[in-house]
Amino acid sequence: MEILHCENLTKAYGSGQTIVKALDEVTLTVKKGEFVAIVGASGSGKSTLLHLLGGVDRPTSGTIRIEDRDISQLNETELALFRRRKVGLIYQFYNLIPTLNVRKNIVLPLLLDGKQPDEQRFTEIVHAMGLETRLGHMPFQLSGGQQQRVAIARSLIYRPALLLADEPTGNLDRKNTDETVELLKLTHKKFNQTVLLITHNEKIALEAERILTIEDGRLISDKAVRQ
Amino acid sequence: MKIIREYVHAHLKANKRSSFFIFTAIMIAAALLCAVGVLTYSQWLNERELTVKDRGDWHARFGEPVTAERLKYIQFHPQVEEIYLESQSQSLQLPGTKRPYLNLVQLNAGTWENTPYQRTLLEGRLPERDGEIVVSKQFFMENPQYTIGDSVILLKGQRVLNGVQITEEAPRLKGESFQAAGEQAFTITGSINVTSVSVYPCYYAYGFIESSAALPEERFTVSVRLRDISETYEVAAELAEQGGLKPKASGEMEIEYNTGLLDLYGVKAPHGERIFLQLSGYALASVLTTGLVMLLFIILIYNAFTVTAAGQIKQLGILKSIGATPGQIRRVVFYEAMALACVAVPIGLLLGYGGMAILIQGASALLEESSNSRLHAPFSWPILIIAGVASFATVGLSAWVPARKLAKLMPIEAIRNPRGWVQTGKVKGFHWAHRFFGIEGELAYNSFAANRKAYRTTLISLTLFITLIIGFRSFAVIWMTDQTLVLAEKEYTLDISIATIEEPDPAMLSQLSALQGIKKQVVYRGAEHTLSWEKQKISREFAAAGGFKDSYFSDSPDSRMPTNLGQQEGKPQIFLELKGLDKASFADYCRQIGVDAEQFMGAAEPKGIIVNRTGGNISSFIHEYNLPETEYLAIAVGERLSFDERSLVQQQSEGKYTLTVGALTEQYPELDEYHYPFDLVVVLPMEAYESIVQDLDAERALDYQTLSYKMGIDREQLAAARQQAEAILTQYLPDEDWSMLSLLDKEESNSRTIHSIELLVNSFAILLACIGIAGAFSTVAANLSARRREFAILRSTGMSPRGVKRMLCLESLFFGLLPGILALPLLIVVCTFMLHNTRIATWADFMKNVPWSYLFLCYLLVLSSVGLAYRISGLRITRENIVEAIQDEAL
Repeated sequence: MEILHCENLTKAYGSGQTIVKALDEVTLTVKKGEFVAIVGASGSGKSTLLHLLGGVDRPTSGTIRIEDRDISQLNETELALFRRRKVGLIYQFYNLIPTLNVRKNIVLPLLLDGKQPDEQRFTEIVHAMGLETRLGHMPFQLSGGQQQRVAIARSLIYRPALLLADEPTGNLDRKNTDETVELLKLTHKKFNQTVLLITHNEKIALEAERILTIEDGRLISDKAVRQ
Repeated sequence: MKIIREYVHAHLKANKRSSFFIFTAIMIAAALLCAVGVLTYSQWLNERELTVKDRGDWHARFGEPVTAERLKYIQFHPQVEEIYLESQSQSLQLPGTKRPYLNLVQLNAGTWENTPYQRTLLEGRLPERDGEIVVSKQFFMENPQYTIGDSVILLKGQRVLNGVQITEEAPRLKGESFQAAGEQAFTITGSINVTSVSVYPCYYAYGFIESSAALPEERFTVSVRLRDISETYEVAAELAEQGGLKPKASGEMEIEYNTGLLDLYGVKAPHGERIFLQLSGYALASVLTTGLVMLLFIILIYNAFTVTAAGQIKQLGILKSIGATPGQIRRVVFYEAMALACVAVPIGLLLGYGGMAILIQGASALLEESSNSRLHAPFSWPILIIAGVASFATVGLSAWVPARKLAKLMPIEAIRNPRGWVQTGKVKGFHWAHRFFGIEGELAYNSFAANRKAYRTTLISLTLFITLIIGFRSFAVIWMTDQTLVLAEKEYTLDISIATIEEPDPAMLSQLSALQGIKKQVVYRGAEHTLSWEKQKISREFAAAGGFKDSYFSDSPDSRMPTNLGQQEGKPQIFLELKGLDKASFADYCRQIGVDAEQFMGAAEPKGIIVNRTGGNISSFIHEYNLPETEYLAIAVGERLSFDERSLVQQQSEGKYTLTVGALTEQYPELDEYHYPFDLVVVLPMEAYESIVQDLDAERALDYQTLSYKMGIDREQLAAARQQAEAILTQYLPDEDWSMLSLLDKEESNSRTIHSIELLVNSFAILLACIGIAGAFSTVAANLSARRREFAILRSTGMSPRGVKRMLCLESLFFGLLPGILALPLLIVVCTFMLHNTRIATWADFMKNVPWSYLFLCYLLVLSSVGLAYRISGLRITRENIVEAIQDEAL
């Protein structure tokens, strides 16, 4: 079942002669439950693609359909609700709210909706991330790896259609990198979660089921990986 | 939503410094708004109190007396809240007293409660029933045989001269007699502080009257206070009709309105000029000041929000990226603003009220010495509520723009480039900075220029602080310089006025003329009459300049020109100033204009010198209204002119006299008097003046005979001369018959006025300085904290700690100097405006007295505050671990 379909996706900056195309006519389809890695050199446009798919940035042209809904047509409020309920975003620099504790950071998307978390789901995620003993801590009291786990937990709390990870291990040491990748794989398997992972680490990319390569804003290859 | 509240609370706690700055700004805004409200209200109350004290609490007064039998139509009208009655004045003959009469006016209970006389009670009590009276203190001083509590039976009647009743204000007249109309018993219940000059033959007395006890034909001057003051003009006309008053020829009723009081409530005549929205001057001033304060603080608080929001923007970006809607982001900013406002506004209101109460107390003590004003800070819920609402509105409006901007921002822009939200200015290459201060100078200026929007709040408040402090100081200097120059321009420094109808004792005048230090002196009397003239009979120059234009006449509908020129049956009615100079002064004047003084002495018919000049001697009027300065009327020497005794067109007077033109000139006598445009001044020797006025209305004798004695004495000898003059005058005259004003008194009064205003303005400026300095600390700290990476990079590229310090020092110098530079053109504009409105002072006069010390102190305060802020915040920068600072993007 197709969960994501984008067509002729373009993102340009500047105008006239100084125009720079970060993404150029990218067309892409992802099926539900797929684990996709996007690789490419620095500045190739992979993060831009992820941000457009996650609804945190708007394309210059093209369409993005997620669960059969064209998110490029949504207004600001609809887009916010889409991000809250349909997308889980994980960044390289964690992006936690420094003034809220771990528990609040994890359940934040639900609280923004005025909802109380499903305790069973919450416990399950916290357990999976190994954060049971850190729930009352503030972000600055955690290590980088722990902060990233909080970010992953937060991205999963709303059962999103898509989990988008932008170089989630870029700021971590080897041990934490391995742990984070394992957690993403676990998430994928345990919750049948569709994951799009951006990395320039080939070894990590090989953990995915499919690898897309981007160069100069264009999708130049789309290969399946034998597990 | 709970999570929004939790997030805001946590954010406020975690960012105490920036929260404190916004909190302080809101608190000061609320304090200032409350202070403006309290001050305006206090001034309004003071003005109301003074108006009521001066004129009473009535709204309308009928021009003709109303008979007792018709009073009920006014008294029981549903719109009438209170009726004030004053009987027609009558004389009571006193046996064996220095002055032969009491001049009695009787008031009803309502009038007594609201009358200005009530406050003049010195001893005893006010009359409470028919037959009780209070009498002026002079009565007891001059007739010690009487005391409070005495009962007397007195003849009631009127003063008459040749069988005609004399007006109550008339001085003692030769040949006047008393016409009795009955007698009445009176009890004296108290003494009041009311005096009259010694030539007046009456003591003032006020009694009590019950309107129900009045005879049907008894007539009263009636004033009313209405239930709804805004209906005054409509209801008063209706009441006048019901009271039996006859309309004037124009069809209108003759009604006097307490316009001072009505103005304070914003009530205007139906056909009069209407102020914007029909607000009273105070309400308008209050609305404008509140608007200005709100605008100022909207800019200040908006900038504060902008700076702090920049630090928060990444978090808001994260919130947006995980699904916070634009509405929720707006709510975050609004909630943050309101959370701070909920605490800051009540504290600010309290501080504003308390601070203003203390200030008003201080200013009031100063003002009481120089004027009748007595300010107090009354507690008023409406003022607090209005100030509170205005404060919350200020905060709401300040937060609105940042809230909107943040809500619109794409999450990824906020996450990636949090500093980019606060737009930095374009940075050009500042080669001069490099040339003078090296690379650190260029870097410092670039940083300062790039961050000028973040610094805007602080720059605005510091610039305003300097402008206000120096602006007011300059105003004080300009005003005082102008006053000093105006006073210095005066020929005479000591003015004595003697109210008498008899010739003053020659020994007293001789002693006064022998006062030490007199360089010049003039003694004269004056009268004001009218010359009816032909429009065409004017000088050639005046005719060439357009002659009598409609706008010159004060009764012309579109005239705004300050003239005394009237018009009757198409003929100009020229206001005449008749000046009778003593022999020496007249001879001196004749010498100045090159005329033989002898020809004016002992002439069969009075002969005078006509100052035949159109423009008067008030130069500001001449320039402002572009008045012609030419010879005025076509008059020839030897011509006989006929004058009317009335000084106003509408005055009823039959008196006339003729005068021969002895000489014509365009030079006014040196009397230190202002002569209005198109007035005609006639100068005579005193004996000729006396021969004219002795045949005129005897009841105006006091106006005609009041003697002005002006002396030019050097400042150094003035205090001693003033003392000596006081001793001489006290020796020859009763206190109520003379008054004296010296240059020193005027200067003292000016100085006190400036001092009391200075207190209020300086307090406002200090508040601004507090915002500016608090802002400087907060902005600099926030800005440097956000630039930690920039400094770490500079250090990693080899900039020494000394270099960093130098860069910070130069940056603080640019920042600290800019408010002073920005304030300069503002100050020049303000001073130019002030100097434009002075009478004499010019830029050259001001430049001699520029308040350099204030200017220097203000600049020093601003520079040192900014410098200290950089020094404290910069310490962390220089001590920080470079790697940690560069990598500090974890959160």
